[in-house]
Amino acid sequence: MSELNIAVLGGGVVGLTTAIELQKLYRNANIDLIASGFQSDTTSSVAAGLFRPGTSFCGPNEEITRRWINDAYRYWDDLRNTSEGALAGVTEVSGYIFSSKYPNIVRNHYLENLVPVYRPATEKELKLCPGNWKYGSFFTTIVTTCDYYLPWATKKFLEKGGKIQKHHIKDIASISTGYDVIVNCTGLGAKWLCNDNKLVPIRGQVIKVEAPWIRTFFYGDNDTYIIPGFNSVTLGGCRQYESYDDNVNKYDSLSIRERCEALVPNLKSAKTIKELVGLRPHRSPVRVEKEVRHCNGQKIKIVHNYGHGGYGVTTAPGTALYACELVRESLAGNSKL
Amino acid sequence: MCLLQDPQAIAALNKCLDLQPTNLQALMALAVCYTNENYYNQACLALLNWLRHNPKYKDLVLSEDLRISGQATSLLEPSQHKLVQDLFINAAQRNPKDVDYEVQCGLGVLFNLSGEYNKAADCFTAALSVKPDDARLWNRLGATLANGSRPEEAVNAYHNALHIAPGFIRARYNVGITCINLNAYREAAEHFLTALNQQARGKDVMNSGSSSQISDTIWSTLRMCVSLMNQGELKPLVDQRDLKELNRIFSID
Repeated sequence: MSELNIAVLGGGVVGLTTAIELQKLYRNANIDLIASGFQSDTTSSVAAGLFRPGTSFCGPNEEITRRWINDAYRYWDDLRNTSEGALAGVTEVSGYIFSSKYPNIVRNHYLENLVPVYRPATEKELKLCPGNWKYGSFFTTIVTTCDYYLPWATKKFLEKGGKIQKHHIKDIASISTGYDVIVNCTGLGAKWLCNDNKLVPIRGQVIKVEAPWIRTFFYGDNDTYIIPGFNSVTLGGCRQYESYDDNVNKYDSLSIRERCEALVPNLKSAKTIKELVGLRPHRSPVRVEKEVRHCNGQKIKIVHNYGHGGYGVTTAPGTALYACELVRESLAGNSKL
Repeated sequence: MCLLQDPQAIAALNKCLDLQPTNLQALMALAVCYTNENYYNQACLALLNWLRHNPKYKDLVLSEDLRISGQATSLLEPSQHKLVQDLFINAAQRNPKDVDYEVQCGLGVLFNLSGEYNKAADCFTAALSVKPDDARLWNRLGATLANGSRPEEAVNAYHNALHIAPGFIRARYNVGITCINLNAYREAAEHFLTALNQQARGKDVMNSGSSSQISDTIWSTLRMCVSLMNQGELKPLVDQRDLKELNRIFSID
């Protein structure tokens, strides 16, 4: 018997992961997941889902950022090692990152002491792919295929009594009645919901292809990547700052194909399954914080969890666990000076 | 002035300042209340007024500094905050050897506003170095540590406050909050009940405001606490404010 009412806004990897973690923390709470779109409507479903935080990814400070990343890796790795791992679309994968330009591009201070293997590529490995690769690293990490993860997490959420509502939220105040706290995981939607000018879309386009012979991921220069998932291989990509174009662009498609086939020529025979566009919700720093909003004489407690950019799948569990702590702090109220 | 119910305190303090706009104690108390209620810009404005009406520091404030708006919003305007913070840092540097606990307290509030809790804790610690017997300062240090996710240290600071003033309801309430954050829900409930009992006996030595106002806050936090404990069956008792029965259930004498 409890009357703790929590709303989680946003149906992507961040919203769902936060919702199922809140259920673990508050077993008897009523938790509603409210979003305008789910599963294939989300930016998460476009992502390749490789665990590789960008070196510029940042939270409020170094310590918290590290904690998010380390917690997230452990979460995915633990899930992978359970009997549910395969159902959730989580597996281990190894591969290469190459650069013909800068040595730093192939280094990653977040991953180097976290993943089981992160080492410089050998001379021989630098010649694996066509191109004049000067620098390279080999590493082992985790890939989460959202085509599996989002339905799996949705099922978990519903099994534990969570409720899903599909509608668009224009204003947080409009849904505030009856909820003790609202958790905002609306990704790019937060731009309008919170008037947040720091949040910018970074447009990405990918091609999901059928190429089961690809078992290794590859990153090349200029946003070129080939990442094998559970049911397809993701070819990418692009990073177009502040572009709101959510249509597939044929020139981007041609460029992605050309760059990926130059890196791994046997992709020429890979059949296209679908082409997708996602607007990565980029914000620096990622916003995971408490807010108390005063609205018509009423206090609304909000915990924000958005702005993960291209690293939402990577870091969702880390920021979800952190957001859960903030929910508890928010419910308890702040300590009074 | 140390009311537990900050919105009522804000109204009372503003009334006081209408009559006497240069009342420094009221201005500092107002800054604290606004901070507790997340009115960030108003808190900055109150601190700016504290400086500008303080004979020791008023020369630091230039007329162009008075542009800040004190607009009612929970979003902190960084430029305004920085301006007031710089002025307080100048004030603190005026007599570095002779710590002015009020300036340190103002700085502590400013660092709370910007979420720089470690710096804020240093300021309150500095203020306590010259006023170690001030229960309110210990409570402010405790709240700062708690809001900065250092709950174990916060509990120590609150205990100092309660050692000096055993009937200090705000500090008692804060210990309860910190217990919730440490997942110690039962202990939290015990602290809230202790505070309610003290209040019912009219024992709040720090004059925490009128009894019904104080109890509203504590009762509603206690209600949240029993939800978190998964003891929803206690909620009706909380709603009926049945202190006697709750005391019995939690074995509080």
